[in-house]
Amino acid sequence: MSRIDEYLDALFDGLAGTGAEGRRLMLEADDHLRSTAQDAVRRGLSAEDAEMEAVNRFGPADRVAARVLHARRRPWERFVAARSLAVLAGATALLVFGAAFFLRGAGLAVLLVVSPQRRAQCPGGVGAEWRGCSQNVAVMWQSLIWAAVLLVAAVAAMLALRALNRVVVPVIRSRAVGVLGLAFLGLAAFLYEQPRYGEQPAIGVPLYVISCVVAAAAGLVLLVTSTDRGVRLRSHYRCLHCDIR
Amino acid sequence: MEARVELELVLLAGLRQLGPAHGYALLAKLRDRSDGVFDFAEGTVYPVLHRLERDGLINGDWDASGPRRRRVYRLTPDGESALSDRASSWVRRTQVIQLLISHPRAEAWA
Repeated sequence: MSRIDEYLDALFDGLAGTGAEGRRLMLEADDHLRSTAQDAVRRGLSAEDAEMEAVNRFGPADRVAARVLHARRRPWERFVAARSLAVLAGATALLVFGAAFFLRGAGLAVLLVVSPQRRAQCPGGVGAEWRGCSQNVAVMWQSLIWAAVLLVAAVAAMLALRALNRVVVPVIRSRAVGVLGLAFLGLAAFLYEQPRYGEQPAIGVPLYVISCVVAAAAGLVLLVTSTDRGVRLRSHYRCLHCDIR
Repeated sequence: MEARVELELVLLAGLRQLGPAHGYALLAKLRDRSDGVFDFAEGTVYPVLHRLERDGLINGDWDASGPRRRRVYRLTPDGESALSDRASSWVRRTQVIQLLISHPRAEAWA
């Protein structure tokens, strides 16, 4: 397959859902690329180098497609995309919380098995034996259960978001995404208010604050690196500050 | 001035100078006439042309006379008017910037 054909395939993928405008851009891109390659061959380049030059001069396919997507986006579609972001951020927060609970539960489980003589910070009193400290066992099980619930919820949220982005009727999709987003925000607020188990981290910052910061950072990384075509967030927001090149 | 608005101004001015042209020819002429200063990521120009057409500043028609279909663009009367307005605005802005950058010393502001 020629380099131009590969580029046009990538551009076609990026223009999915753009209708007549995308089809028109495909025609113009095909003509432009082949004209550029022909001129380059006339200048003495090989066919392969000419096609590479044509593709490089045209610009990355995803960036060209993003400009079409961004131009087509109506205000309500941007709002839907923003609410999709909120749902995705909420799902990421659940994922991070779940991971944090799992790590704590797993860590306690390991200590129970490995170090039965280890001194523990039991609310019942300093110096109690680890195995005899029922509070730690309860914390372990509670952490593992919370981890399972939150991880399942996060996966379900991401799958639901992916499915919703394929719903044809945009109004239904918009409202469903909005309801999901509010539900996750409410769940997150509920989790934040859950009593901690009397444990103070060594750095003096509450665990839920640390989790929020980590969840927000993880969400940002996820947004920037997302290649989920169902959500298409990178395409939506990539072109907000486009330069000429 | 935003890069997007600059590009629109350049394309409108190019169509006025060159007459009806398809995207590839328009870009090639702009590159030549600017001695390579205007060297865009060429693919990003077409969405701008589409937007100008949606806004009624240019018109496009398909030309099937060659080996491939090409869309030929031409300036509309509204496009002429918009070009004049934007060009005047751009000239004013550059004059102000030129005035500001030509007085590097603090005492020149007194």
